[in-house]
Amino acid sequence: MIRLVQQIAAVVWKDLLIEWRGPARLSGLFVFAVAILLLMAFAAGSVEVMRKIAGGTLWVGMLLASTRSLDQSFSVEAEQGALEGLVLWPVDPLALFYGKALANALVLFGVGVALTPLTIAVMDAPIAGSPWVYLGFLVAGSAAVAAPGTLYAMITSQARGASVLLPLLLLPLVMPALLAASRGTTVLMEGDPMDQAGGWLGLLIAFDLVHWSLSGLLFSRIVENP
Amino acid sequence: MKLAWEHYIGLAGLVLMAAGNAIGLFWAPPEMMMGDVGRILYVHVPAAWICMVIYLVAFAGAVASLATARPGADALVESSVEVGVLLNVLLLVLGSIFAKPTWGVWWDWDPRLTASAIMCLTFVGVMVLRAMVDDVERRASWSAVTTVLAFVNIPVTYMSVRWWRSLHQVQSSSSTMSAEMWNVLWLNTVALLLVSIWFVARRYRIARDRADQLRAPPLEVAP
Amino acid sequence: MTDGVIEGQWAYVWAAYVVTWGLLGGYGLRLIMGAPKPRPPGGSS
Repeated sequence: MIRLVQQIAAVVWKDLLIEWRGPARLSGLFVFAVAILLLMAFAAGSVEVMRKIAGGTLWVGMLLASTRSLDQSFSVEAEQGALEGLVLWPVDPLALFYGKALANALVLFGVGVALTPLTIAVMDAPIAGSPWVYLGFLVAGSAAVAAPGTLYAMITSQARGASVLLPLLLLPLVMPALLAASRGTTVLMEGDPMDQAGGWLGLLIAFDLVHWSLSGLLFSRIVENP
Repeated sequence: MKLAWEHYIGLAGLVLMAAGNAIGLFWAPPEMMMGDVGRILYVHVPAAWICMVIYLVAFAGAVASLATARPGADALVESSVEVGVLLNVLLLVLGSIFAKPTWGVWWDWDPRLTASAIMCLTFVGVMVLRAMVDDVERRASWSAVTTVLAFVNIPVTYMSVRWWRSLHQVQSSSSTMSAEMWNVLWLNTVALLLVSIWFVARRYRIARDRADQLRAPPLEVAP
Repeated sequence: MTDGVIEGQWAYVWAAYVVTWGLLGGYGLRLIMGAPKPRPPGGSS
């Protein structure tokens, strides 16, 4: 058990170090999300509409950005043949999966945190509700995209047409999570008058539990006998 | 020539479906609230039910494929996912046709209809993935993984969409169906089930045949 | 049966049944056409 945690930590550290040493990718991700934010603001037209769609825009931006970053998560390894190396090493496939998923969730969470003040400013949508619940949405929402995203990125990175395939598989799957996160964030920005944010957060956490447990199992299954 | 077993089922399904649809169109009484539009339900509701049954078969096949890695289980995943998507598309088109005269819009954001649209996209993803991977073993385990996740996601999607809609309006979907209508509905459901079994069985044989060809390419004969 | 509403309703009902038979029939035909044939022994030229 302790070994598993150590291995997970090692994989997380390795992946975050890669992001840190090549900051072009991380900043590219952020700029991509900002571009979506601006596009949606132009499409909305009026400030009233912007306020209504601010929460949804934030999550659409993060989700689309995630399909770009997840794509990279395994292609970096594939380029150098490192994935085979990692699997051949005495690393538990569970540790490999949870390490990578955790690193992806952290990257996504970072993008979300950086995007928040911009969304508030551009869309004129201050968070009227509890900022802690908002932070909870960022954590749970990033995790919801990262778990199935990591699994599918591993699969599609080895298939033809990966850049089309990953969004095609991932977007419909995480739609309930996106719905919960964007609705919850939006009602939070409106001050949560009908006390709905907690319910949406609960739904998001339920999604996380299902997908974090299931994806790990399935990942180790397909890595052991590809 | 001896016919394969599924042909008898398929033929029975075809006859039952023709009879059931004719009864639904001409003999069954008009629905109390909706009038003649209610007759769409005789094809719409069986499509929804049987679609779920076929997806359940796909899920079972995927679990079996992950557990045993047998080619038969993979062929079952391939065939039932495809037939499931077919029924899913039918269900969505019929739902749209039903929504227009009933609620006045082509798309109603009814939780069940919306959830099945998302469900359709996830399973189409499985089909595209299968088309993109040539290696037989990898294709089997990857499509099994995506099928399992797509199936597990169905209740989550339905719950979230229903909740989302319930905040806006209360969708009354309690239909006013008489016992007579239920009988016609069941007849059509059984008919579609038999036809779908024929679909899956035929598609299964094609999948097995293709996989065999991929696994063992025919030897070149020297000229 | 000359009521405009009823007439309009029947168009939707017919559309539903035609779509059903068209889609299922088309898929069934495709399956019959694409039925696996036993490959002749020996290779291709």
